[in-house]
Amino acid sequence: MRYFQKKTARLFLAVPLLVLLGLVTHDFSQQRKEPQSKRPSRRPAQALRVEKPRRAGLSVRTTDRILVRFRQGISQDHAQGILQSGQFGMIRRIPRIGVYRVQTPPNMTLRDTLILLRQNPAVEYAGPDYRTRLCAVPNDTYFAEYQYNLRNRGGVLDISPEIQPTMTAGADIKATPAWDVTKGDASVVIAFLDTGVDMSHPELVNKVVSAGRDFVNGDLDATDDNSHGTWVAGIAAAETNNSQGIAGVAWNCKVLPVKVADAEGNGYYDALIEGLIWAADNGAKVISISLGGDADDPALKDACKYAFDKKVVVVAAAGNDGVSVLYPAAYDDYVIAVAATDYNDEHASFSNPGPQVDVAAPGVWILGPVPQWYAGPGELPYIFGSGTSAAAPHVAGLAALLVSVKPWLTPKQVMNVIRYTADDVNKAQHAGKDDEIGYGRINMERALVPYKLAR
Amino acid sequence: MRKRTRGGLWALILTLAVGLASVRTLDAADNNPVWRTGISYERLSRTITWDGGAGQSKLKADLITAREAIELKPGLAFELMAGLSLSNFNGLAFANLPISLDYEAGAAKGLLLGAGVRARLLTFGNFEIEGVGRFVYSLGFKTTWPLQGFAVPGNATGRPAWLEGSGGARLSYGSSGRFVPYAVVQASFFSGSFAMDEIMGDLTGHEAKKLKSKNLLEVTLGADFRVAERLTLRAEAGILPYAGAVDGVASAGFLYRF
Repeated sequence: MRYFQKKTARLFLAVPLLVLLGLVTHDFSQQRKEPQSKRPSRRPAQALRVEKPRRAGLSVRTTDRILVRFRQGISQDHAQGILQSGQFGMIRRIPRIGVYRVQTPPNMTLRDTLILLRQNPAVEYAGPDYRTRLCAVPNDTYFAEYQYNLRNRGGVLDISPEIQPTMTAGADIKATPAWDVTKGDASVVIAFLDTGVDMSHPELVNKVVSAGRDFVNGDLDATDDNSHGTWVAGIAAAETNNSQGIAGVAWNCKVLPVKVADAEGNGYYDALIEGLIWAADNGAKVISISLGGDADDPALKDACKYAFDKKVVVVAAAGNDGVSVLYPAAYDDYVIAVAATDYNDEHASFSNPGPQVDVAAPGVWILGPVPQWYAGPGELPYIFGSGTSAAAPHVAGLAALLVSVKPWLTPKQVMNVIRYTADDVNKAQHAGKDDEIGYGRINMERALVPYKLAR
Repeated sequence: MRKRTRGGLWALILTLAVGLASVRTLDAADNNPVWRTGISYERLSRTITWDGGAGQSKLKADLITAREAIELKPGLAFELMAGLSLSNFNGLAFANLPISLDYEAGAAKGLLLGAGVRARLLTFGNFEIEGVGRFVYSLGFKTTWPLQGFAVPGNATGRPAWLEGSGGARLSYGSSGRFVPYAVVQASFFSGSFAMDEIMGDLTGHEAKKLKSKNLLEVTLGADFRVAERLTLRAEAGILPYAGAVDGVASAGFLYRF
């Protein structure tokens, strides 16, 4: 009797595993075969049009200049006399408000100079002359021109001579205003349950916290042998503002690679289950899953609940076959399911609809990093790709930013903030929450920038 | 903060009780207390901090109060105040809520209660030094604001409350009897709270801000001007300095002597 019970249990386990095998393959094959996700044109580096960096990456505190204001009653001559006797260089007065800008004397630090000035009873205020900078616009090479997903200024998305879609300005996730609030905390780790991560890629080499875990080959090296995991991780957390490549959604958050699919993009539920539990146990605050299967499986659901109960936000792609939401994305209570929109804020035709869809994010022609061996010799290690696989890491990045600034929020609260702050971009057809894009395309600005409580 | 607020209320009740007890005692002995009643308007601006000093903004408040003062004997007076407060907390940030809120909603209405005491300490020539003390408690009315532009309906409900206390010395010059200029130097204390609840779908949050003031000292110049036998006008202007800046307070009003 016991023998039969065991055998039945094995059969029940084997069925969903076999189903997953096929479905995961389907998700990944979209990357290569389907029209909306075919490999982008590959251009040699010199052929890419590059917008010059908007700003230098200097710290706001990097300064050797000081602003000084003297107390009322201190004459201009007296004030200038004090500054000249202190050997301050480059004295300049801002007359309307009686403030002097001076340079620290030679051989004196900014701190010592400030102490000296503040001790002078004639001085009302002395502080660093802080550097200014433009609103948080990263200087990454391809940000302005190709990353419409983060900031869409309209025009043509010039992917190749054959692929040049026209974009709608504002059809983006409003990343730049949100980055003024936070660029993420380095203590917040996003685990990517995927094909692994190319840990030597310039976009990720400084972002990975460890070599991760490979549940396919059973070792501690989650190196990407497919490219999909690297692409997904880069979208969420690429090295940003480093004057090269692309910007990630969560500039400062870290990456934990967890390999749960093989070189062909195939995997089993057991690896996904183990990956979820391992990531939750190993410091991940957010788990991004750009794969899934058709079968509902209690063990997979339990693994999602395990992560959720450990205060981990789980984000998963809805899937790309246009039918129904994949698992684990479909576990509504524990996972935020992400659909895909395009450069015009329109629902991507391949994106799976269903009542479990929570939100959408750009998922058409998204530029992300890939291993150099995958791009080919002489090619830039980046590709344009499409799929809900690309949409999910946008949401994972936003979740990581939310956790960075509000670590006290529960996963449920983070999920609800992401849901309720979304833009209902298809309200003309489906007002309110719908099966295609859920509550709407995520809006990082609304999720992170304080709401002004007006009269 | 609620404990402090309750503490303020108890202090008010205690002061009232002591004042009224004194009235009865002295009334019996002297039978000649002087009652005054009046109305005043006060505008104050205080720099407040919250989150342990990490945040800073201004509280600008307009206080309209009815006053009832009793001079139990020459040189000892108690005063009770009640009225309306309009407290503007613009700039206060509720960053711990699931969806952060910046308060820019302007003045919040509230009920104002207060009490004061003035006791002569020293007289030399036409100069007089008195000890003065006052506290004012403002309990804001609960206000609800809709949160618009989100995927689901939401609102935020807030209620501010604050307590201000001060005590010090008043130097006055009363040669003419009709016009009495004075200067007050006093320690100033402020404590407040602003509780905010946020509800949006099944997303809820609560944040209570503890508010403190950077101003610990208040210097006021003022004058009482007796325009008629029973009617006295009073005007005051003061500063509340703190490191690097200064806040201000001004008031005007009248008192009618029965």
